[in-house]
Amino acid sequence: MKAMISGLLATAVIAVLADLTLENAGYGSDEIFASEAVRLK
Amino acid sequence: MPRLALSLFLFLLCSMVLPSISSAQDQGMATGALTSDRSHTGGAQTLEDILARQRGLAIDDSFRAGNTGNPEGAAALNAQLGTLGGVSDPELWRALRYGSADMRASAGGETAAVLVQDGGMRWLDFRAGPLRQYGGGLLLATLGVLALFFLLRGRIMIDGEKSGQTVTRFKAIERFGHWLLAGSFIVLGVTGILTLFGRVMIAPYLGKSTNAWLLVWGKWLHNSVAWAFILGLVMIFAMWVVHNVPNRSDLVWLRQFGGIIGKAHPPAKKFNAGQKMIFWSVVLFGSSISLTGISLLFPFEMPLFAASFDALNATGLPQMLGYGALPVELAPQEEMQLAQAWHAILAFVLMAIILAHIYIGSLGMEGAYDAMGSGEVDEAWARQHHSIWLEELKTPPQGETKAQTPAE
Repeated sequence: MKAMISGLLATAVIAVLADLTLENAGYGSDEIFASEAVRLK
Repeated sequence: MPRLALSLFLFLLCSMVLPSISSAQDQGMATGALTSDRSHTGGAQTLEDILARQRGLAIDDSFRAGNTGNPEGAAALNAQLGTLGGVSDPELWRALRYGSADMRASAGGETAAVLVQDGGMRWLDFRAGPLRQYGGGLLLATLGVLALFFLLRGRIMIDGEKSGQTVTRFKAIERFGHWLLAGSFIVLGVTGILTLFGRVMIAPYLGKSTNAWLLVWGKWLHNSVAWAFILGLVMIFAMWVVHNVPNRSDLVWLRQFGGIIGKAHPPAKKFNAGQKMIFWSVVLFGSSISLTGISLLFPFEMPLFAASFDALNATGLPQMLGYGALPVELAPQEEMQLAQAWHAILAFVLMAIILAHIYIGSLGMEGAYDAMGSGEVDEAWARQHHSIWLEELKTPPQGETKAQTPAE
């Protein structure tokens, strides 16, 4: 049971970390819409 | 091997999807293309062409794809009846539509230089039509078959009494990897379904605002949780690939339908043939879904299909099967459309497989959930479903006795 909860929690943690990393790298949700902005960076 | 697998998947895509969503440029290559005498329209399309297109027939568009004017043939500006060029507006629009216009954009690269991409409408039709119908139908049919199976077969129980003795089926790290993959897949599946069906299933009943809210958060979840899925996929592949190599006992298991139909308990190692099929489906489909997903996460930066089609063409397989050479010059937008279509098709197939996996791992079989819940399974269960694995577990490896003897 602990492994299951850990796996599900890890899913959430990885999702948040991935979003923050992509945001910092210029591939955040807003930028990806304006892919031109990504290209010009 | 992964490249070959990807190529095969992409070939399946060609046969299923490409004919319906390929761009106007590709239409002329369709087999059985309609040809007409267009002399009475001066070479323009005829009523027959229009009606044929409305009936969904393939039209050989080369008569207008190449009809894009000829500046060289225009009378000189200073000549009698001199013109400002040899290209009319319709000819220019045709050139834009069929990708032959000499377009340049100051920013945005080749993506921005595509002003008209009518393949987008075919993709939209595919996404709003067959993808929803067949994808949704597949999931509903799977649920229906599982419900029927449960009614007919009932829960597969452990024969006799439980032994009361347990053995460790999966270590904590294995269960962690499984639940990382499972949890992320469920989130991805639900948000993917919301994205595809929200407009027709949620907006009309709960309102567009609710649908928009779900889509915004669904998109964030889908894009972010995808990385957990990829990590889980890598983990289970690394941990279990060695146990999922097919062997002879799988044939016995398959011949007896794994005991799912009937009362037999065919011998199996750590994973039986059914579990191996699920494993390889998850690994291969999951990898392909991940690749196309990454391609969609970074739009236009990781095109996959033109290169894959090129590799497939080199094998001669599409030509041999009568599809002709697959298009290897795809507009950037077309790459994205194919990636989305392939991503969704495989996701539906994998969701259907996983529904069956969830059923047999929970409701469908007594004792199966314990393997991934606590990691401990009853020996009676293990003996009935994974007898070879249990024997190997209980037999000390050769040489262990010697190793326990101090070397002096």
